[in-house]
Amino acid sequence: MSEELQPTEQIKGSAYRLAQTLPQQLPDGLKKLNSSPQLKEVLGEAFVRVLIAVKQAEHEAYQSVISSWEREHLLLNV
Amino acid sequence: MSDLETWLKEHRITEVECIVADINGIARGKILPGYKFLRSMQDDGLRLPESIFIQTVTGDYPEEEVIDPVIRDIRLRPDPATIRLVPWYQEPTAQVIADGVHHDGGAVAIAARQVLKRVLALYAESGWRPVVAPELEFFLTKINTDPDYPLEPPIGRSKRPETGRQSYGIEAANEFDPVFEDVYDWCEAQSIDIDTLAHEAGAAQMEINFNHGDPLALADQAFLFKRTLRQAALKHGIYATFMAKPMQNEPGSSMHIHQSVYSIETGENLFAGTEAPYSELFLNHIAGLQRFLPAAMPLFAPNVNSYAGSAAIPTHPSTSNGAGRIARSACACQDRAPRPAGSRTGWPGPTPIPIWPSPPRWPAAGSA
Repeated sequence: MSEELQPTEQIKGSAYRLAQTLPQQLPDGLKKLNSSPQLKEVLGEAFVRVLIAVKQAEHEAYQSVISSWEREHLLLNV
Repeated sequence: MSDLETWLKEHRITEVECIVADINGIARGKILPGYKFLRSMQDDGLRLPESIFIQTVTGDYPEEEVIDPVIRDIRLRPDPATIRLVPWYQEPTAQVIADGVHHDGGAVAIAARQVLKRVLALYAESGWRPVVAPELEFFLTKINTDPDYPLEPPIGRSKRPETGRQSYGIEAANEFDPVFEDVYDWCEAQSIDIDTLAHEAGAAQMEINFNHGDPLALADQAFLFKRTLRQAALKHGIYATFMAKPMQNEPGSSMHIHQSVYSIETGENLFAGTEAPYSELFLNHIAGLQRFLPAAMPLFAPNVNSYAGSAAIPTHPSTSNGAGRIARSACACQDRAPRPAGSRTGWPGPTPIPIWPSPPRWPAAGSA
């Protein structure tokens, strides 16, 4: 609102057909947040730094987990 | 005698929970006898390590040094406006939400509640008063003691698990009436201003609406509501979860925030147009959401699970001013009377960080 931005046209009907514009994975979102000076200014640099570090650590912890899908589909097949 | 002291005496409080929300919205803090709590208000003796604000959901800490490596305590300053009963204990117990300050008196900038205050101050600088109403979706599930097994719908009054899609089903919601009786009673006892309960599309998936109000008060209420609902479910031998996508073949849960902005000076709704349905400021607001939502995703979709099975969601504004349902978009605009003009922002990700309580995932097929 402070930058007086203009929106795109309103969509009529279903929006399913439109291309995705939001990050599809946590690391993508973190990367985008890290490159937004405006959000850092509004939320505070210190908070954004902590948020990114905490969420990266959580993502790494998640990545180290072996899921039931892997056990189901890979265990005896690859 | 301070207001807090009077309140504690009036309610014969024996114990006080002094709480803060961490970066994942988990309640942390100290539990102490009423008299010790009052004494701590005098001698500023309530302390917590600053590191609780950088703790991950697994209880670990990032390797990178994101705060002063010297272990520092912060002082807790309870916000008297937030004192409430904790209605599910036998002993008269109170809970109060605290803010953190450093030894030099400066606010702890990495605390989510402080971030919200900072954002609200920016609104006030422009003469704006934001008004929000969160809407939280959640699942009730059977107790799940082994996380290696998938979650299952709980058994309600019919003694059968729910099957099929029960969107807005009244009987389906009533299956868990005893749980919701407690939820409504406990919310009333805590002045948590909840409004409507509706059954969502998933098995034992519900949605609760909050009444519109001040963002800080509603962030506090949403934080306390999550605690309240989990406790009520446990009392009845089931789980309540706000996780974005708890079950593979069920829709995800989301949180939406209805937003509008009023003039501090005149009290008018600045999102409503005089001739057109929407004002220029409202269009700026929508454009701002479109531009910044991608970078703000970690606030709204903060967990890996927020992205599980995630579908493409556009940020193009959609409208619900006609008879149709809201098209699936992250920004839905409403100008329908009697609801004042505002936007409904929802994101695919679920458990909110307590700043702008987040919206999790969109339910399947645009059920709103």
